Amino acid sequence: MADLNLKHINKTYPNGFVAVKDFNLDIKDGEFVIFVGPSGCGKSTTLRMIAGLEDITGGDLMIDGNRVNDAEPKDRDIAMVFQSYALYPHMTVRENMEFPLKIAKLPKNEIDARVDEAAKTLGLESLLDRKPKALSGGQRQRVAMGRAIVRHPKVLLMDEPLSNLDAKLRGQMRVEISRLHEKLGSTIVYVTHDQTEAMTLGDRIVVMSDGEVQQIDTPQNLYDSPINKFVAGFIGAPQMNFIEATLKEKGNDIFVTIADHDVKLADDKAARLKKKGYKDGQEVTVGIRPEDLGDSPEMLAKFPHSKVKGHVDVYEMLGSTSNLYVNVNGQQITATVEPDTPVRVGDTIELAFDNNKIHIFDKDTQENVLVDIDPTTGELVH
Amino acid sequence: MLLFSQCFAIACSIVVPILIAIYLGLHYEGKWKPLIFGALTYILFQMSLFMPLMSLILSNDTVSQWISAHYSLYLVFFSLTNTVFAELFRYLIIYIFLKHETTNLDGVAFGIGFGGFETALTVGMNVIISIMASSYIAKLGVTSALMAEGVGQLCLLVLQVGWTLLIMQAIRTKKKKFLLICIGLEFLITCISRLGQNVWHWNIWLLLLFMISFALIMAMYIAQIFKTENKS
Repeated sequence: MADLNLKHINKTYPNGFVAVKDFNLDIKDGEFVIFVGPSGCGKSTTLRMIAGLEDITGGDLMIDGNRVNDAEPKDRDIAMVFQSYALYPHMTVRENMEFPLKIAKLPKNEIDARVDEAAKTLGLESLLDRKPKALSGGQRQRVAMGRAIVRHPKVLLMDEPLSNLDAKLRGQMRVEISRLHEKLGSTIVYVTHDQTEAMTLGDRIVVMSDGEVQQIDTPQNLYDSPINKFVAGFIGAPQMNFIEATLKEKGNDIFVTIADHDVKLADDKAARLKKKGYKDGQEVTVGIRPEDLGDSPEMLAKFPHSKVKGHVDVYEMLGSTSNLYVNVNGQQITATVEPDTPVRVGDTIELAFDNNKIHIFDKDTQENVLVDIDPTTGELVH
Repeated sequence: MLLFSQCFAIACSIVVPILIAIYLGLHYEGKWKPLIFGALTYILFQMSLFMPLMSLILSNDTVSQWISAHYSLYLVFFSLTNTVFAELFRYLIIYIFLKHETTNLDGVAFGIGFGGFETALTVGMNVIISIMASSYIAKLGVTSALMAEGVGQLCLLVLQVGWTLLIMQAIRTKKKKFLLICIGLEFLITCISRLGQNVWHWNIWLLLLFMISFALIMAMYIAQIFKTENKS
C-alpha cells in the first residue's frame, strides 16, 4: 500500500496530440480512486503512465514520495488488471497466478501460500487446475485480479475490468471488488466509462474530458455539486435536464423563465447569483436532475412557485420509479416520478422543481455558478 | 447434472480416444506405432519444448509488458508460433520415424495418439482430479462449460486427425503445399478461437459452434480422402 501523487502530469504524443493535460492528484494510502469519462478522454492513458506502460512527457509521478517517472514498470511495485484480462492461454489458473511470483524468484512455499490465499479470497480454489479457455468471463476476470493481488503490490490498477461482462455479472463483480478492497485495504486506481461503477465503488472520482480533469471529489459531492455542465451531465442516470432559461428578478426573489414558465430559485441560490453579478434578463442554462422533479400533489404543494406545464411524450415504467418525457413549450424535460403515477402519454401535467436542487450554468463558460471552488486547493467550498 | 457433465467431459476427452486407440491397435495390425508416436510428439513438442519455451520468453520483463499492452497481438503471435512449430515438428517426426507408415489409417492413428493425449491431459485429468478432490463446486455455467468442453475435445480429435493426414499427404506426395495448407488452416482456427475467447468474449456456445463447423469440414475431408484411397 502506498501514497500516489501525480503532479502536473502531461502526455503529448509525437504527432502533437495532447492526451493528458496538467493532471494533478494526490491519492492517499488505501484509497479507492476512480477515473471516469467518455472514450478518448485520457483516463486509460493516465493509468498506463502510472503503470509505466506509457512514457510521461511532463510532470512528476511519485509513489511513497519517490519520483518514479523513469522507473521500469517492474520496479514500481504496481499490479494492473487489464480489460482483456491478459491471461496466458497455455497456463492453468494456478500457473497464471504463480507466474509473476516465479519471475520475482520467490521461494516455492511462499508462492504456494500466496496463490492459495488469493484463490481463497476470490473463490478460485476449485478452478486452479483449469485453463483460461474453460472459464467463464467472470471467472477469468477473477483470475486476472488474483494474478495482480498475489504480488501484494503497493498500488493496484484496474483498466475497465468489468466492461466485457454482462450487466448481471458486472453488478456481482462490483460487489466483489468492493469487498476485496475492504479486505486488502489496497490503494486502487480504477478506470471506467460507466458512471454507475464509478459512483458505487470509488472513495473519490476523477471526472475527465478531452485529457483534462474536470472535477475530483466524492461521489456524493459530484452528484450534488457538479462543477460544470459536463460533470453534471456525466454523473447521474437518467442524465440531468439542461434547459435554456432567462433570469428574472421580482423584488428580492430571482426566477428563471423556462419556456414561458417562471420557476422561483431558493433564497440562498438567488443570493449567490446576485453576489456573482448575474442580472435580470441574463441568459443561463438551468440544470435539474429528473429525480428532483415531481408530479405528486405533495411536491406541487411544496413548490407552488416552481412549476411548469407540459405534455407527456413518453412514459417509461421501470418498476421502482417511472420516467416521464415531457414537452414544455418545445423544451424536453425528463422527470423520474413515483411508479404509481396515473400520468400516461398525451396527458398535460404540471411538474414541480425542487428549487433547492436547481443548478445554474453560465451560458459561456458552462460552469456551475452556484458552486464555489477554492482556487488554492481546487476543492469545493460548501 | 454436474456429475453427468463431468462424466461426459471425461468420456469425450479420455474414454473416446482410448477406445479408438484400442480399436485401431487391435483391429489394424501395426497401428500401435503411429499411435505411440502421435502421443510422444505431443509430449515432446507441446509439453517438453513449446510450453517451457513460451514460459521462458514470458519471463522476460519487456516481453510480458508488451503482452500486457498488446494482448490481441500476443494471441495472434502465440497461435502462429504454436501452429508453425507443432506442424513442423509433426512433419519431422513422421518424416524421420514413420516415413513408410503414411497411409490414411496411420494418419488417423497418429492424430488420435496426439489429440487423445492432449485432450486427456488438458481436460480429462483435470476433471478427474477435481472429482477426486471433491473440489468441483457447482457454479453458474460450470455444467454447461463442461458439456461444451467435452464436445470441443471431440472436435479437437477430428481436427488433429485431419492435420496429420495433411502432413502425411505432404510427405507422401512430396508436395509442401499440404504442409502450408495445414499450417494456414490450423493457425486460422486456433487464432480465431483464441481471439473469440479472450478478446471478443464469445460465449461458449458460439465458440463450440465455430469448432463444430470446422470439425465437420475436416470430417468431410477425412471421409473424402478415405473414399479416394478405396477407389485407387
